[in-house]
Amino acid sequence: MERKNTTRRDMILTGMLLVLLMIGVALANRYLSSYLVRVLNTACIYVVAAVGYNLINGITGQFSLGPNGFMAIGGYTVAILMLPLAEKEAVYFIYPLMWPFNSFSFPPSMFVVALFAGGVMAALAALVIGIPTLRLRGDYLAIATFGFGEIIFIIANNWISLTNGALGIKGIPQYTNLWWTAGLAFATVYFVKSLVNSSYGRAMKAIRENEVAAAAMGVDLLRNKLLAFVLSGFLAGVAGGLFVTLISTVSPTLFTFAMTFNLLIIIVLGGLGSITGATITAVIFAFLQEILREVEAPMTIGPWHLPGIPGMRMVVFSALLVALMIFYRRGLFGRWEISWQQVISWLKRERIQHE
Amino acid sequence: MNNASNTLLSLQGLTMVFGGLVAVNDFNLDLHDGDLVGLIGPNGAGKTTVFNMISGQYIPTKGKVIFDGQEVQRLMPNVITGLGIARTFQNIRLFGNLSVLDNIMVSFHGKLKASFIAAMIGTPGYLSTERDLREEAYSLLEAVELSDVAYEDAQSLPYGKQRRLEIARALATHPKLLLLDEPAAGMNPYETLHLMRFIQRIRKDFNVTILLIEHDMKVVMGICERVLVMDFGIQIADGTPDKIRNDPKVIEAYLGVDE
Repeated sequence: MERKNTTRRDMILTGMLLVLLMIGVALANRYLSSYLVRVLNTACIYVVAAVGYNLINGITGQFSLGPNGFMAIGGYTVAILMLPLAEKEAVYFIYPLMWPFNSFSFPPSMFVVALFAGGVMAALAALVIGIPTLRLRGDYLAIATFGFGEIIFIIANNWISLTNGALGIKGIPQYTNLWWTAGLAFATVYFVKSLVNSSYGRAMKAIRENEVAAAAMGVDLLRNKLLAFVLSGFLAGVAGGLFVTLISTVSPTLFTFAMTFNLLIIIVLGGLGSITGATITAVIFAFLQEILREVEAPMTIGPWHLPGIPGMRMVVFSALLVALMIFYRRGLFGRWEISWQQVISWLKRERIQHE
Repeated sequence: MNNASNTLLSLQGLTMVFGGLVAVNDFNLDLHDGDLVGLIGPNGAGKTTVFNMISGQYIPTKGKVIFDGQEVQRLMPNVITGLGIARTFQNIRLFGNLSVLDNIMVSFHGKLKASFIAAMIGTPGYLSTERDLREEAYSLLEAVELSDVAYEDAQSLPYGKQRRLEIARALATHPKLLLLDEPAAGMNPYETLHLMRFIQRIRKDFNVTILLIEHDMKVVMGICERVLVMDFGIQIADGTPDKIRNDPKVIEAYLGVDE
């Protein structure tokens, strides 16, 4: 009986958090500079991708290096579906866009359908790679998914009648706004957290802890690994779709291995397997990336004048990652998760101290 | 031994070859409902290989595993568990970073009916299933006297309790046949005594047939009604503990031949 009440209480609190988030988005849209809103958008997209990536790498313990490939699939799908017909003719000037995509374009109201389609295409790709490689134990998934990202890069460069090759697609309408990104980030965290706390999540963690024992306890290894991998691909696809409609362009170089590396930094820094960690670190990462632009600018330190070094940010991130691996191996949050119960007990403790 | 009751497990000509090594050669065994049988033999005799073939980790090179009237030697380990064979491991394989309660609940996943979509949304139906599973797991922990550590990480338990949790986790799959691989390994005499009583109790309470690998003769002779002896992949003796104790072949396998 008491447990039932906590379930209802948690639902109410989650609903309140959603309302608070909506107020926050409304306020941000009204009062923050467009630059800051853009950083917030990027942060939310990172949350979607990182929480999804964490599901396969951190929760299920299968080392995938594929999210850039899945994001590219989602991004191109959304771009091709949403690009207006007039733009399609203008952009594809070397080879016209192949049928049937040259004959229709989604109206703005179908943006959500396009995002879903982007997710589904990425999920299908994950299914195709996952079925052979997830049967095997060890590093095969890492190798196959790394290769997959490279294949997608080559396809994006060379299937000109679909992707417009190296020129990429420009003029994609900017449908992504903070309502979409924050809303989908919230939905991602909520759904993934529910899944991870369910029997499916326990099966995934059991696979991470010990595959042989998980199978001996009746867990279907392939099914549960595939579930995590396909969901993770779906979320990466959605994140890719959001990304291209935020910056209104997509090209093969947008989703290179560097994107996967960024996500890997996020989930390792946050603590592999912690949804809380992935969420918070994704936001911190998006802001750090902006703040650290400073280190790439020309600098004058005392008598020395340093020219700007592009890519210096990644050096800083890499150094951070190395330091963390040495001093704080489990990441900022380890496997810790925040829950409403904990928030309430903190607040209560605070009050007791005040009295 | 008890020929009147049903044959639960029948191993027929089971053979396992790794490259040039014959780990198990033409192994035969019939287990009946309610048996408690010990499998002993020197290190490397092939005992664990037999377990791995029964539970589906290995596919035997030759021979059949018939469980409850069905051939199972080519099925996946999780399917075999679903049919009613559960096992523990010689080197403990708990889900270390999961709580004791979650370790038990993993065993329920194979029989879960709810879809992942219901779990993701957190539908009232799913949440009530989850509550039922939690309660079932907790009462199992009470039955094996581990409920006081239900929320601790499995890896933080003392050794004896880890062994007990492994057995409890196997019982949570509702097995008809329980395979215990050296449950007393590394235990002190007091823990061993406790374990012997524990095995006898779960056999009665959970109504399971038990096949047990053990090096500790006190355990095997103390609780098993029938003992099989293996050496170099073949069965060299089969009988009551008393008969085994005086079998010259067994003495030879363990102590060598007097020249």
